[in-house]
Amino acid sequence: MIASIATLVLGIVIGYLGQRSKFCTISGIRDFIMLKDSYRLKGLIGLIAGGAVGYTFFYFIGGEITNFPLGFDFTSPGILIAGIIGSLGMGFFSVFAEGCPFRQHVMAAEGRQSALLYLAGFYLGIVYFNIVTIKWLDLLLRTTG
Amino acid sequence: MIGTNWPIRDAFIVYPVLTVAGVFIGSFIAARRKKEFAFQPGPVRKRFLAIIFGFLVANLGLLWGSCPIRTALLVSYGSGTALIALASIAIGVVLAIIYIRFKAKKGVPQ
Repeated sequence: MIASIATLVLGIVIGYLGQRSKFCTISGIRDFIMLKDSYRLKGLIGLIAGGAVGYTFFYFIGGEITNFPLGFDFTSPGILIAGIIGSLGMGFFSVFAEGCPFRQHVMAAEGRQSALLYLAGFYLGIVYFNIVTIKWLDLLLRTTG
Repeated sequence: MIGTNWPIRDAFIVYPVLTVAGVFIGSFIAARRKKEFAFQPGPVRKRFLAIIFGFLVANLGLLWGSCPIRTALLVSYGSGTALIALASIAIGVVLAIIYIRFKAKKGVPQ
């Protein structure tokens, strides 16, 4: 119960800071390439740096941190190819949607209607993936090895 | 050393992870406090396209297994696979920019 409340409180803090900073992973890359604006890209770099410092610190104080550093952990070439296609498509369509899923949540909370509709499609997509896409993916990976 | 461990998954067997709800609430509080909350259209002009984009991003994201934030966190965890995925996301963004510039040259509104 405490862990659940902790995630809610942390989520509120992250959401508040995300709204104020306009943090977005996709827009960070997009703005830097299109407009040479590095403001949002700093957020992505800060996220990676903060994570690396946090994990390393946790590791050195003797924390239980499984398989750190992770290295190349894909189990088959098919899964790696699926991952590359997935992330490539995610980057491509997120530019047209004007932001990463986190940013869409923030914009929806700001009252942006298209972000609310995006989230409707997003959560419908999660359900669809777990019912339909995953079965096709499983079949494809089995046949291709 | 000081009893540090990550019993995260065990903790959420019974009670849910509420980070997403928290993000929504936190953003709403920030928007209201700074008088930035307003029902307005956009940023995607066509409503149906917004639903399609959300649907596609969810499916493609799950195909990889992470959102861009988790991908970045996996990179900081030392995952080489996540580094490939993050590079693929960046390539996807570049391809979208090329497509937008191509359409803009032709004079087609986005």
